[in-house]
Amino acid sequence: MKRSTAEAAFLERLDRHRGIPRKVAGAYCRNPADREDCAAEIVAQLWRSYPRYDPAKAFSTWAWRIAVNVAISFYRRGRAEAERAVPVDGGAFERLASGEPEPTESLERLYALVARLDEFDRALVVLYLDDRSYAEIADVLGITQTNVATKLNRIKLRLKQWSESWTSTN
Amino acid sequence: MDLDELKTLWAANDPAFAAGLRVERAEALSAKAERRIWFELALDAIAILLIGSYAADTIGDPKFAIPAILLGLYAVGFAIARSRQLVALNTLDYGEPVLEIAKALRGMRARRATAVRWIALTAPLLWVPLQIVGFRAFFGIDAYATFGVPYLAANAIFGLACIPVGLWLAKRFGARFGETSVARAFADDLTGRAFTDAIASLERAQAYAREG
Repeated sequence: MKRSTAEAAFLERLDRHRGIPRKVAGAYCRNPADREDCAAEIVAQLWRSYPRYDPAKAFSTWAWRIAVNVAISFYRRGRAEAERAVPVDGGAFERLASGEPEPTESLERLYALVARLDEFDRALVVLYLDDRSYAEIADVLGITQTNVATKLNRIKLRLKQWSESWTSTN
Repeated sequence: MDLDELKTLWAANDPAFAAGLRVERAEALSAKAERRIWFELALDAIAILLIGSYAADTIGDPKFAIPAILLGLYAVGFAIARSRQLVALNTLDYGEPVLEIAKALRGMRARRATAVRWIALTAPLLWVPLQIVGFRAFFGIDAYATFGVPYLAANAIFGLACIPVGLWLAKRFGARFGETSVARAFADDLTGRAFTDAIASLERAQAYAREG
């Protein structure tokens, strides 16, 4: 079926930022199959919200906002299952079924650390890891840049402590 | 390993994040959500039309018209609550800042929990009007004449008794259902736990924005 002009423009923009759905989904879902569902739901919501997108503003900031909003809703809806279903075999079977690419061991470790944060701090960390500016992080979350800096400092301290205790126990 | 070291690791995984995103699945999900909304609204409309038509047919006979009007008002109230929820959800702009959306969604969740609680608690009271209307509409039976007023009064008392029993059951056994199951969600709505949770999480979102 031939795609409409709007759909083609949307897909072209999405293609330039196609990592966003999976980056955000990874921070909120530990199970690989859930990650794929969450990423698909993010793309669906991006498309549904696309008529409201203002081309004068950055597509990436808008896409990050939608991705985080959807992922938080997804996470809250299935939190118990998501937390319980930590894959015992590294998620190999689920990944095989979902078609998700194999993450490195360090990336899984990173996800595990991020999963210990609350839902808003997770978004903050993912945006920071993705090298977004404080201004953009503040814009996505709806807080001040000073607040971003303060929260990031606290998170850095906590992550460092967790990482050290992880290293000493493994 | 600190956050800045993790940044390097994150960047190294960039191709993996971008690989094989399934747009077709997203399209299917979007269409499914839309279909479900229209299906629910169609069911509400059919119920209101059927009850309204019955009430109009029996308008000259208050003993049948009044129960039908009660059921109709309940159905209209239910449809309004559901429509408001659907409109709010569909007009919600997910492109707004995360904390704004979190606050809006949690406020909606609290209102929905209140609506479901009231609907569920008052539903047993409709058992008698439902019998009067149902027997007459589907089988042509006059419940007043066939079963007698004492039977209907006993049913009304039964309906009233169901309210505290239902609340007790929801409190006692609600936690046994899986946290994401429909039964658990209903039990949480009924006992007011869902409302309390929604308000607590709304306050967390507000506090997050305030913290320095």
